[in-house]
Amino acid sequence: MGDEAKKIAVVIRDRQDEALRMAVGLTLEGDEVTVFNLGEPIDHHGDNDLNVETLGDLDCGRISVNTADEGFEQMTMQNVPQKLLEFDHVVPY
Amino acid sequence: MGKDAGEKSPQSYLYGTSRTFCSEDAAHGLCSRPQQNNTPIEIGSKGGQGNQNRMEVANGGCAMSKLGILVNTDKYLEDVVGVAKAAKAAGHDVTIFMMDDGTLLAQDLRDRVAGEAQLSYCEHSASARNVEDVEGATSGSQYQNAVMMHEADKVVVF
Repeated sequence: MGDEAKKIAVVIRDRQDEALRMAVGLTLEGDEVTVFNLGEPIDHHGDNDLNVETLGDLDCGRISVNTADEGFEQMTMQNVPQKLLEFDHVVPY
Repeated sequence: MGKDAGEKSPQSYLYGTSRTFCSEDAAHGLCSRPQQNNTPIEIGSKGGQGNQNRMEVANGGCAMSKLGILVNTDKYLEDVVGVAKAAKAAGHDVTIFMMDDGTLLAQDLRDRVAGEAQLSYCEHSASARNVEDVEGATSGSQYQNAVMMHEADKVVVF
C-alpha cells in the first residue's frame, strides 16, 4: 500500500512561508507536489524564494492566480477547482 | 484534560451533527456507510483514481483505510480528537502530524488520542513555540508529514 507516487496539491492562502516549506518537504517520499497560490502574490522574503526555486528544480508544479508570481503557471480562479480534481490529496494552508 | 460539555462523541462524528466524518459525502471517502451487521466482509473492487487503496466490501461497509490528519492550527482540538476517535472506532489506522501552530496541541493530543493515533510533530515549529518534547509523540520533521501523506488514503486538514 502506498508505493505509487501520490499527487498532492498544496493550496497557499495566507501562510505562504509555512505552506512553501511544507510543499518542499512533501517531495521527500517521491510524491508529485503542486502548489496553488490563491492568495496574495508570493512575498519575496525569508526562505520563500529559495523554496519556490527548489520546487522548480524538483519539477513540482507552481500555479498562481496572481500574474505577479513570476515562474508560476497562470490560472484563473474559475479553472482551479477542475484542476484540483486531478489530485489525491488537497492540502489547504 | 477532562471531557467537557462541548465534546462530541465518536459516534456523532460518524453518523451525525454538523461535521460528519463517515457519510455519503464522497469528499471524506474513507467509509461510505456504517457496517450493517457482523457477517464476514468480502473484498470487492478497488476505488477509483486517487483512492486506489479503498476496498469496497459487502453490506455497504468498507475495509480498513489509513487516515492522515494534518494539524496546522490550534483552533480545532475537539474536532481533531473526535475525528481521530471515530476513525479508530471504525477500524481505520490514524496518523496525526502537527506543524506550525498545530504543535501547540501536541500535549493535549498526546493525552487524548495517543491510543488511537500515531502522533508526530515538526520539531522546527515546536521549538519556535517553546513546545517541550512530548513523550509518546515523535519529534520529527517534514519527512514524517511526507510519509503520512504518501501512505494515507485520505487526508484531513485542521
